[in-house]
Amino acid sequence: MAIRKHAFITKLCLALTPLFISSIVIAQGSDDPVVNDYSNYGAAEYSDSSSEANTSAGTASTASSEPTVNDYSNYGAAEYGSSDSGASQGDSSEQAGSENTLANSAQAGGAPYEVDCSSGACKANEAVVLGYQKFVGHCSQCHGETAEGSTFAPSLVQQLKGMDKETFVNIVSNGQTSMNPGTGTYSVMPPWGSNKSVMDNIDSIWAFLKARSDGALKAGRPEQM
Amino acid sequence: MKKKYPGGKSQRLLIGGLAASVFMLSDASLANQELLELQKDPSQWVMWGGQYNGQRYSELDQINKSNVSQLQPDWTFSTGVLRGHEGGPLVLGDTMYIQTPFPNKVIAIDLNTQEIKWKYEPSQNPQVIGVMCCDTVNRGLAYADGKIFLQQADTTLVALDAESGQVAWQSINGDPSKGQTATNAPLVVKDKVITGISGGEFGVRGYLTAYNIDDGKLAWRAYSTGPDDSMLVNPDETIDAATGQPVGKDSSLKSWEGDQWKIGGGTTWGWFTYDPELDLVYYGTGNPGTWNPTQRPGDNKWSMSLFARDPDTGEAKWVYQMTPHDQWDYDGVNEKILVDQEVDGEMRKLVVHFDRNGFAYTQDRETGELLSANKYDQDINWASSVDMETGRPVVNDQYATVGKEDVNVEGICPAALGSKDQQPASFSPKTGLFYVPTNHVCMDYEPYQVDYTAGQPYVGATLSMYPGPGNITNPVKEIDANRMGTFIAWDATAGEIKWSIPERFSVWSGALATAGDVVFYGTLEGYLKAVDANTGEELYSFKTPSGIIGNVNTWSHDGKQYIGVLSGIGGWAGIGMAAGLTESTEGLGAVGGYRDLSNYTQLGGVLTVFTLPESAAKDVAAN
Repeated sequence: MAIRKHAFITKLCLALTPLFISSIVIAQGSDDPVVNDYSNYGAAEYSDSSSEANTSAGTASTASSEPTVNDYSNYGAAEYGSSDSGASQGDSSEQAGSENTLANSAQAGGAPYEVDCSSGACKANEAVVLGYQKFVGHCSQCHGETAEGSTFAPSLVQQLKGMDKETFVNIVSNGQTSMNPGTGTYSVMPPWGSNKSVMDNIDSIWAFLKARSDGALKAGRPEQM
Repeated sequence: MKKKYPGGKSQRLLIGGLAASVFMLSDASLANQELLELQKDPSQWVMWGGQYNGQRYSELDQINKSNVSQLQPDWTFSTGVLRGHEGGPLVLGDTMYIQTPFPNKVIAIDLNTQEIKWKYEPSQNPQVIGVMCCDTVNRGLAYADGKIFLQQADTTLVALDAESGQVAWQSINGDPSKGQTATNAPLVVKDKVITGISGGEFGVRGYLTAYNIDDGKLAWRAYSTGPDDSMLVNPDETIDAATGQPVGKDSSLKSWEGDQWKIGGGTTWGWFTYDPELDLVYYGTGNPGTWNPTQRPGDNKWSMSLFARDPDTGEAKWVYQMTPHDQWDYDGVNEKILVDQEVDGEMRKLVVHFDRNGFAYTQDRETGELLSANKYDQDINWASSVDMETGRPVVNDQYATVGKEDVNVEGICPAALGSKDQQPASFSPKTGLFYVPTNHVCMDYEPYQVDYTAGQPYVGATLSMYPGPGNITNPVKEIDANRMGTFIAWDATAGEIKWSIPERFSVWSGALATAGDVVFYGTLEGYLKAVDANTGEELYSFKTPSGIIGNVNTWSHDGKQYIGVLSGIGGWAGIGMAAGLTESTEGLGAVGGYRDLSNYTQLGGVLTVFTLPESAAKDVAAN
């Protein structure tokens, strides 16, 4: 693409170095308790209760009183850490240097993707390319184009380490709500179970994310093999 | 000097007494008078734009270009909330009001003691977070008639007693289970509070709604798309400013295929301004439903449009569509700034706005007549110009995305973020210049077929964003090779950039201009900067605790001028912080990506208040 090449080609070498050493740890932790609560997420909650429930819902407090924390209804049912990845630090793309090995071992180990980054730009099988498109179309608004998360959604590159496909599919289709006990900040993954474009392509999305998480695939749009 | 709280009972009784002796006026019309006066008082900051005109200009000049270098942080206040903090503090008399992103706390702070007078935290279902496209920001509060108005994320509009924080009333403006949410700052005009709706990425059909400030009852609602009566458009009288003619019957319906207008977008999540003399409210509408233009043939009216409406009835006086049949997500919601300037030797009442699409539009705000539309970033390439005869952009086919399903269209400038997003610009009547925080980001865009499901994202495009080319107009300092932002001074009468300050990252904070010939803005790294209003020369810089996406506001208290801004990285800018918006297949642009932001700043909402040291403030008083 003309503009970028013209402006940035000379920076290619520079660009690649910090890419691999940057460390992304700001996404919300994967160990936050899960407080899924979709029972009251229907239109009913928002429309019916609005007139009566909401009139008493808010709290105004004087300076001395405690802030109100809401919606603990389902908090007891919280599962801690849907993934056992533990404290995850660093960007997996730092491993992307050994693309050939990874690509080969991925195939040998029955990984859901085929990736070859040996020529600089990554080439991938159809599933990964399709998965990239679907991921960027539906998921990147929160998790970022590179799947490394944002200030308001976790890094899937990190979250998928140690997560099995069943758990992944379950979270994507049913959603997941968690609250960071330290900050009180909610993190909400909406349920995608009724979204055909996501669910029909869940294998491809998994393949793309797994390739990213394993460090086999660099960030960005992969080319078809 | 301690100021009596402006909305307090005694003053209202006084005004009431005076008014009652002439006419029998309702509380609400008094509120109108009160607000009209309050907005002119530079010692207070009673609405998002400082004044109804949205100029974000203050007459205060104690802090000026000679002494601003001595500015220092005076006090700080943590909101206790992470996530992106947009908007800014309101100041009324001795009280400051700030708001936070979800859960949308409101905190009233006593400026004499910096103690918390009260705080309010609404109960909201956290599931609303999952249907907010780009973080859970909130752009601020409104005040009138002793009430503070908060537009909550879950679309509940709430009126709080400004003295106690007690809820006066609540009204529900939408349904989050259908993707309707809210982020905007309300605006009070006369006896009504006007608010918007978000959800352009969820196929929401946008609308502007007015509620009575007394009881929260719905006064009117004007949709952006659909039948004329639902849009409060009069086919014979509402003017299409592109042609200067009445819009005619079914102006919106004719511009969509079938029932697509029902999921047609045109949300209203930006800023609202008001001209009390013309009695018109100005605002813009967002992107049409689905980012895949092939799926929605037609002009998709009135998405991507500027509306001028009667605040009493909601009826549209005129409307102008900036980006017919959008193909790039260039929402038209950016703030409409009302200024009076000379054009071709004649004083004109203007509305000027810096559209996401990269053109700065100058229009007559009474009629909508388009006077000029110029690029405010020379690298804009999706359109070569705006045809002044037809009022339509001249689209460059190379960068069109319609008819290109599953084709990756490369190198479109600006990116979907726009040359400028919601971060409001300012205008100084002293210099006659606009000060505009901008993005310098381009994109690849691949549209694809999507189906609509209520309450689910309805996007239909794969985007990749990266820093724009290195071009810049009249830079005042060396250019960062991977510049993603520019802070510019814009001459609307000439349609020219007077000077540019290159910034490493997008400038995502609202600007402030003052009579002290200083302009303030914040950066994503977290710097609060003060620059010379005439030259752009940097006069002061301070690193606040987190990246700034809030607006810089000013007020005075006990004879001293203060500058206040919320830090707290997040919002759409936060999407790139961890993610690196910029990586493409070749790995180009990674150096300049937003991802590097995490090397500069972390999350956390903090208000920082600046003032001059006593000695410097006294020097000004002595002179």
